[in-house]
Amino acid sequence: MNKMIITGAAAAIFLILAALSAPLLTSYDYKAQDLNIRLAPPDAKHIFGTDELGRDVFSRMLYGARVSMTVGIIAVLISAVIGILFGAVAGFFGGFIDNIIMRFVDIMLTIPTLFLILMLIVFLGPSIVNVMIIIGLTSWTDIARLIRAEVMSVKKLAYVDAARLIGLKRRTIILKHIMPNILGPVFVYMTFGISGAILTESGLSFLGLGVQPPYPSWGNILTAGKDYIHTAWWMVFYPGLAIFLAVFSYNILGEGLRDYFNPRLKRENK
Amino acid sequence: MSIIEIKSLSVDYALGQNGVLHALRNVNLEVNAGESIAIVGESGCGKSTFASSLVKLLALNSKAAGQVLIDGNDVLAMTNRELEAIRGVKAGTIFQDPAASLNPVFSVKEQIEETITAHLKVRDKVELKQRAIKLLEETGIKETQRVYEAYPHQLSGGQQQRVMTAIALSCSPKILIADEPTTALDVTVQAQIIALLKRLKKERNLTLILITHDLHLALDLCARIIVMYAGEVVEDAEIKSETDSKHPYTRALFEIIPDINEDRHEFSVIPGEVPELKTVMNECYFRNRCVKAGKKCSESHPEMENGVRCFYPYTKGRLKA
Amino acid sequence: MKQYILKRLLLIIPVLIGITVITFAIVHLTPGGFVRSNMEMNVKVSPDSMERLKVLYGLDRPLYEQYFKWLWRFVRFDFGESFIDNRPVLDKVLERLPATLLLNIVSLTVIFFLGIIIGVTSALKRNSFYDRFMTLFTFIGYSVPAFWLALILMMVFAVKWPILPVSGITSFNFDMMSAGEQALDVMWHLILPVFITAFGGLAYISRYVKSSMIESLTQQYTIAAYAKGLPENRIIYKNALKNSLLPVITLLGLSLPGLIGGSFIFETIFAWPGMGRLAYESAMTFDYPVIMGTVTMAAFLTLLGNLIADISYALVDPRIRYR
Repeated sequence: MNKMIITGAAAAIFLILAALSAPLLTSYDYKAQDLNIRLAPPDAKHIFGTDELGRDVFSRMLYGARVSMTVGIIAVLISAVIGILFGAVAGFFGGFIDNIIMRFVDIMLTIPTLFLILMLIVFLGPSIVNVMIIIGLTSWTDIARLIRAEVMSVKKLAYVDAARLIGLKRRTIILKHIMPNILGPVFVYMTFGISGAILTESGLSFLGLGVQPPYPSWGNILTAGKDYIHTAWWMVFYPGLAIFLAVFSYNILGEGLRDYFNPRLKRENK
Repeated sequence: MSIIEIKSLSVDYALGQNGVLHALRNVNLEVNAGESIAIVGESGCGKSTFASSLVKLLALNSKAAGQVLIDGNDVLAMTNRELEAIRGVKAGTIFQDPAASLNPVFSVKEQIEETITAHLKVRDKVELKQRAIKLLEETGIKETQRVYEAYPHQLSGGQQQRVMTAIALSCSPKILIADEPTTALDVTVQAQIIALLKRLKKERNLTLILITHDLHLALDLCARIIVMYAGEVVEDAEIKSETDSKHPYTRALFEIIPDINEDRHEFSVIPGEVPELKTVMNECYFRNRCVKAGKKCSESHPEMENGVRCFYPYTKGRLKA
Repeated sequence: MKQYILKRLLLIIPVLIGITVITFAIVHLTPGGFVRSNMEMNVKVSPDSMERLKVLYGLDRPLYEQYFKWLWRFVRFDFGESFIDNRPVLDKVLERLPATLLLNIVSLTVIFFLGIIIGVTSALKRNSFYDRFMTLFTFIGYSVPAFWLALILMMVFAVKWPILPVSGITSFNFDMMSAGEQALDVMWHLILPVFITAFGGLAYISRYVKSSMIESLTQQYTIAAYAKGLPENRIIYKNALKNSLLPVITLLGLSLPGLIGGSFIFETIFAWPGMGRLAYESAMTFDYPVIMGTVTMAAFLTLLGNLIADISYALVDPRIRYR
């Protein structure tokens, strides 16, 4: 374990806890409007100020954290399942199947992901569920390539040959021998995937293509804030800071995990 | 006057939490101009560190003590700038793996000529090419023009090592350090490179420092054999055959030379391993593997005496004690 | 070499076909269907352009026939007409292309220039304060949401100190300027967008250059270069640098889709008249032909960038050049 893992994991757990216990941390309803205190700057009652409808920004951000965390985790799970499946099949069987899958990956990599996402959202309609599915469907290529490479290299190792020699079934070989070896790198990619998904979701919500008002997300709080950058800096500053800190934490965690699972890199750092 | 003089040279590697590794311990050696010496021993005995100390090519985590005098100047005390006037000029080096030692993205032409330009300040393209071609011819390359323009990956292993040799000799150094020069090559190519080194040694009157684990090769090229064990010189003598050697370790090295006349097919090794070089002990480091080890060997550490570091040396000229 | 390039060119064909299949599939297989969702959601469509659309995609024909027709149009860059103003999609996309290319090329130049410098210097001073600082700095850039940074900078430069333009590619009086002033004006408008893009992209390049520089500095050929007695500066800045920078050329191709794709959020904020903004605008008005056109064009640009990068790499790396 290293400092980066501890810092990143602590921050990530903190964010998840904050999202889970949102109702306990704030006494304001995220959708309760109070037009008497529109655009009020931060004070003791509303620590991050209020928005253009007099809603408490801090409460909205707490509920927004639920969106970010859910989208991040679900989207990554979807992409991991697809990526692991494609990567493992391509790496294990090789040959023609491998060729077909890798060409498909090439094609996916050629279409800029955000454009693809934009197109899919336009056709499927903007909603939080669609955003999760679409991010998952468009971000599995890295993980597939990684798994494929790992499976191929593990397949060459002696103990897999040995396992095959003593007559173990293919499924047993994959589950008992290949999988444990590639779990580390998968964790690393999933962690970076979460931060990527959070970033994408917030960008889409910011443009009105993600989570729809009145439900808050960090991105759509910023959308409203954009129109008030002259008067209400807190509506821009705090939600953006939250996105940044969330992304930064998961990136640090990913970075730490990468060092942890990569002994060669660890030696270099010494 | 001796061209190389090494005085109580010790090299330690810092291994972080794993302590300190004593790769070389108190090595003393004098080499006369034109003399050829071979440093032999198993891997891990310190001979590679020895080779790198000669022109101070030591790793960043190493610490060297003592002196390495080349023409009377201490190499270890020199700055990087001063070393540039030693490396390639007084002593050229060729390495074990020529494919890895040549830079893959520069042509042979560039790699020879940059050395000549750096040291001899020759910048004229025609003269540079003449010198390069001449060096390639001297190292026995046949298609000089093609090799001159080629990139390393376009050459065979033997050609690559010849090119390395041409580079090492491009500024006419008097000393040639050959660090396992044939280990990475095919057997037939090995023989060609050995022949090349023999010829160059004679023609250029080189002082050859050969580092090798192959005693056979050492005997072929050098009259004087320096045997190293656990970071120390254990024998330093003119050796032509097994009966010339006195140290039990040297004799053990002779025993494991594969002999094609004998009906023995398996690879033979000396039983046991080179001890970890982390501790300084008051005993003979070879005693656990030694056939002649006696009481004295575990009580005190032997010193060099008459060219051998042993309490119970073999007598010269006799196979058994 | 010729063989390599030929092989590389042939590899484009399946990818191009794949792009058309995916775009086609999204249009035709998504629930609701292309034309229906279009009619429901977009009141601006005239029956006339609807007919044209039906003809364009031949929606009454079997799927495979529709696909080949669409492919044939694709080959001729015929993406149909915009629902909004009935102009050919290709025209609309092409007029946005220069702004996107300008922003991306300038950003890429800055990213590679700074990234290489940071990477090399960090490799030479690894584990120093400088190295750690640069790692953190580029890492922050990598994690910061570009659109938020854009808003913050707009706050700073539009509200507090109005010294840098925060919107568009030209000033309002652009037409009255001389050519030189116009060039300066565009550069002036590029500063903030390029800064934000570059800040985000630095981590990737500098990290890559750093590790590949460290690797070449520890290779046997570098030790051999020292043994030759070459000056240290030459060993580092000529020999080792060339080895570590050659593969960076391929990164140029790999970083394109991210830059082009990332640009639409960001072009929207800065009102940058590029392809990303066009894609967003057409998405908001359900102008399908234009969305399809921009996506296809973005994929095409990426493909082209990758191809150029691969071929340049083959040209500069002797191991491929003389195989």
